[in-house]
Amino acid sequence: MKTLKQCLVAASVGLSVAVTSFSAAADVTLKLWTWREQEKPLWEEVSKRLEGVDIKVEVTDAQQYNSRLNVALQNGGPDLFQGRPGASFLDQYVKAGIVKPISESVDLSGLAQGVMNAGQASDGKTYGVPFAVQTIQILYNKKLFRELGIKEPTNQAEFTEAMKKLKAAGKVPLDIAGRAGWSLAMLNAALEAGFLGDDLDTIASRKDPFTSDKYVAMLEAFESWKPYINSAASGQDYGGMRVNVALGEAGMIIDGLWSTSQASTIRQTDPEAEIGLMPVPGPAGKVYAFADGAYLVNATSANVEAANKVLAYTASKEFGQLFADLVGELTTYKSGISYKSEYQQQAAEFIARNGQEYLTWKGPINVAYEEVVGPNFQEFIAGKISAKQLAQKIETGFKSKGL
Amino acid sequence: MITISTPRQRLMTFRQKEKFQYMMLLIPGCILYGLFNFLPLIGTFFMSLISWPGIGPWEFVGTGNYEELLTNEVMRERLFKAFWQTLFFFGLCIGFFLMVGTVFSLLLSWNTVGKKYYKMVFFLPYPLAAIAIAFLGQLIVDVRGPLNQLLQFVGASEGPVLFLGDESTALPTIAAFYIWQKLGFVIMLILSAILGVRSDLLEAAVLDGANRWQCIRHVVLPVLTPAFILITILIMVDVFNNADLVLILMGPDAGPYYSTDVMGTFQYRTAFGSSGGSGAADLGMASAIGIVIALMILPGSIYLGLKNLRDR
Repeated sequence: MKTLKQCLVAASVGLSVAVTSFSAAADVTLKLWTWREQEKPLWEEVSKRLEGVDIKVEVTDAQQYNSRLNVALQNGGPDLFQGRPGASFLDQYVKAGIVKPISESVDLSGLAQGVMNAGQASDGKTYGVPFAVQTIQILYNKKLFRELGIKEPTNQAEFTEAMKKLKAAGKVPLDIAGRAGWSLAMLNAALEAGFLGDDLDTIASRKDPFTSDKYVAMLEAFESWKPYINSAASGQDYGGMRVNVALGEAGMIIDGLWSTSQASTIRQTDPEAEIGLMPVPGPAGKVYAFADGAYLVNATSANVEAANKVLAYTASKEFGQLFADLVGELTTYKSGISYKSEYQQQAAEFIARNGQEYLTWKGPINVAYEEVVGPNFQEFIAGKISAKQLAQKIETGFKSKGL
Repeated sequence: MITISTPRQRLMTFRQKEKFQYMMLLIPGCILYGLFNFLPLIGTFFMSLISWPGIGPWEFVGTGNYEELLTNEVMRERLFKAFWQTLFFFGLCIGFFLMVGTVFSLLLSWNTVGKKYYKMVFFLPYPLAAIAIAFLGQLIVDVRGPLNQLLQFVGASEGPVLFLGDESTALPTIAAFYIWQKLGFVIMLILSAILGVRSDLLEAAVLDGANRWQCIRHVVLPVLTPAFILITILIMVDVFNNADLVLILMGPDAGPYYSTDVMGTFQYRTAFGSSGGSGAADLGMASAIGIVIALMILPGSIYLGLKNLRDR
């Protein structure tokens, strides 16, 4: 009897050890770094669906993301991380051997070709899987427009008319967050798409200067909107601008698609806010679109194999659909994705119909763009410099950076 | 047999022992200072000779960073703008600290009714984190905040004042937040110096017919000079090296259009890029800026330190 008991105890201990070691082997815990809070539900779901991996997401403030990531990567760092789009971010990690060209197990054929450069370094090789197609457009308060009898403007004359009506009703027609340079760089990119469209190519590639007549004309058109812009524009912060349009204090803002997600300030201010999307009504009428970044594998991680498995999954249609459903933004997967929200559907239509390839902000000259455009645009909205002077300052700024 | 005992030869004289004790007391401080201040300074100097984005291989550039800092038009302009603005910020703060801080300290040194509550109120913001100070300050000066409401109510302003959105008011507004936070600390330093004034000197002055102002002018203020110098050095080092309030409120861009750019934000932006995750990061150049800052404040600190020693 005693022997039987001993056998049973030994068997149960052995079994529990085996189960523990099996589950340990089965569930590799991967650490993923991001600056995007809204992706947490997505990764929880991915952890459930992907066998053998448990993904722990760590969200870091967007402003400090790059510096914290660099420090972390010097001491191991996360197994997977989100990178900013394009070569200006990726090159330093390629040089440091932190990222390697994507393995053959990752099938990128399902992704839209237009977003692939978000995961490519300047050597032309692909290092990451691009995620989240963002669009920059006008977000307007639909309820306010309806109450004041304003129709969605499709050209500059109608746009000015709409702003006049909003102003007459005591509302801020166009609220601008001028305190942060990056949000003005974003606004300028939206103007470039709306006014210049494909004509921007010659300026972005530096064949034509920023002082070209067409660029100055774009800035002058914006200058004519100044009577309708919030008087405190240079002191307005990004959150305040979004609160104002959610509350109906402001009629319109120029912002990214991300502001329509459930995690955004607009939804947190008023979950029932009716927000509409429209392109900046310039002659080109295009919408600035870009991939927000790329998922990358830390090549120095001890869990590269498991991380590559996750990376391969991010390029799949299943992940694309999950992304669309749980993050509420546009996926980089090119076809067969159904979008539930009207914002996603509309933005997808913008991209299909009149999407503007990202040439400046978040594009090849992104590193310099925010630094050059942001502070000079602040002077412009404060009325310190004219449209021509702004164009000249942007041109000089790029030249000083060797561009 | 008579034996004459001679005193044992002492190992050290009294003076030598005294010096030895002083030295032993200084050693822990010197070790800590060396580890956390001097060695990083040396490290910063060596780092200023390389070009490094913070990850991957670095490149030795010698004095290249210093040359670029002083010869590149944009970098030079930003450096001098940040320097003058830091100096302006420092001037505002130290002027207020020494004048208003001294007045408050004198008032607190007398048997004012409820002085322990005043002390608590003055000191309350000091332990608060910079983020809390920035948040509270921003609430007060917001376009729809109580200060703007008050100004418009009393007719001092027609529209809202853009305290943080206008280039002429943004830096003084942040200086006001800084003063609010640090004033309690300054008052404590001055007050402890006032309480250190020998009461017999004051009694003698009163017996000789000195009134209250004469007592302050000829007895108290001369004794406060070392405290003033200490405060000046501490605030100067803090203002030139840190920029937490500007970074929290205005971001690394130090807007509007660099009007709140101080040496700390200029260095931060160079090291880690601008807001929104873009901008070129160069820790080598940022280190060169750090060395330039050290060189800027070193003469002032040495002068004040020596003056303090001479006055003792």
